[in-house]
Amino acid sequence: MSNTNELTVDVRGSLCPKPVIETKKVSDANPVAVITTIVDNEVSRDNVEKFGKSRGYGVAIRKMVRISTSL
Amino acid sequence: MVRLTDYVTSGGCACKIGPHILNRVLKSVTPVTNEHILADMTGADDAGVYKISDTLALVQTLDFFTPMVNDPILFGKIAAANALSDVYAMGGTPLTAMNIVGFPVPLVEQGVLTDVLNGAGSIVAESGAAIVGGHSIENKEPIFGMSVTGQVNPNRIWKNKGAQVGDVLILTKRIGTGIMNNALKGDLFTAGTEQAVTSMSTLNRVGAEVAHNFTIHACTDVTGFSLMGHSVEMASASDVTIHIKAYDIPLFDDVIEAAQMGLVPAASYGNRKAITDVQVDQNLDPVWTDILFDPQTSGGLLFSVPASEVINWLRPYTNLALTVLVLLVLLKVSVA
Repeated sequence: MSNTNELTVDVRGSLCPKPVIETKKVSDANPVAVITTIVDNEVSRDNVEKFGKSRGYGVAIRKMVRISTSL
Repeated sequence: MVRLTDYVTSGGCACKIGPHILNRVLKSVTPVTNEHILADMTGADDAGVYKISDTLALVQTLDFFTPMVNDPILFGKIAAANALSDVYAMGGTPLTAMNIVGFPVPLVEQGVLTDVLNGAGSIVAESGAAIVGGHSIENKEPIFGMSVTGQVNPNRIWKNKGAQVGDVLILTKRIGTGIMNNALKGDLFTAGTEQAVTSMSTLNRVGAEVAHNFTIHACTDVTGFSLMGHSVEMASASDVTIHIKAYDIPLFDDVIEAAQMGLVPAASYGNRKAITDVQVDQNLDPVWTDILFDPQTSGGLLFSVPASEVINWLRPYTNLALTVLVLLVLLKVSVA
């Protein structure tokens, strides 16, 4: 559906409870949306997942792989 | 208005080094002790105790951390209440305290440290102890705490060990400060966070004074290792099994909702990994695991007492504020 809000919350480098709080701010302002929160640790991952479920969102977790190349 | 928690860059949750990591370290550290020592870290007791005579022993403890609240005066109060708590948990009375300070100079110049020290001072004054000095270093993150010396009768020391089958546990403060401190950082759940802050800045003195009227089989204070961690310390030192009914645990308002929202501190996950002698009923909603392992800051005293005396605690003290004698949580303690 092209009119679904797609929003990204990048909280890499942040520690608890910032990831949940930032995601909540975005969710409060845009309750019907696809919100992607990018975290860099398991605690944040688990907490944001809990937040999403508590709000009735369907939650999917995807692992991002960073690839770097050098000569 | 300074927001102290904004200055915390590492850890954020002011967590202790994980118990499993710490235990590994301590295993490789050579113990240094002598025949005067009545209590130390080997028994997972709350403070060190040194015997001076048949009627007098010294109690020694220290605690410090990074801010978990924004207000400097409150931070000082909570740090002091937290540090003094271990003396009460051994059945002792605090005598002196010293300030442990690491602070960024700009905050010092704004008067923030002064407020922290005065906040702590007000709580130490309430305990009857005196502040006799301290030490400070410049540090990027604010750190504050206290080193405390107290006294206890060597024959009346409360230890973690001694809980008996058939005992009931009494917990003198509500649970959930870790979760509520997270809520506080996000300015959420004002009811629950206010209760938690009041609880954290309350001395365990009154709870201890009430307890001195009764038979105490074992005592510990509930702090960073969570209700589960400290209960395990008591259970394993006493060689018994402790059964806790989750729904009987006294919680601050909003704790369940805040935990369900994911306001769970990193230390809760750390505690869960480190504390292995706990079985959580599979029928319990998963939120309970977050609550059971929630690290407490300046938590209450956990007493194991004969079941027959429990009613005596409540009867004369029903007019005391709820934060003094809260709930009878525990249940049966039975042989493992």
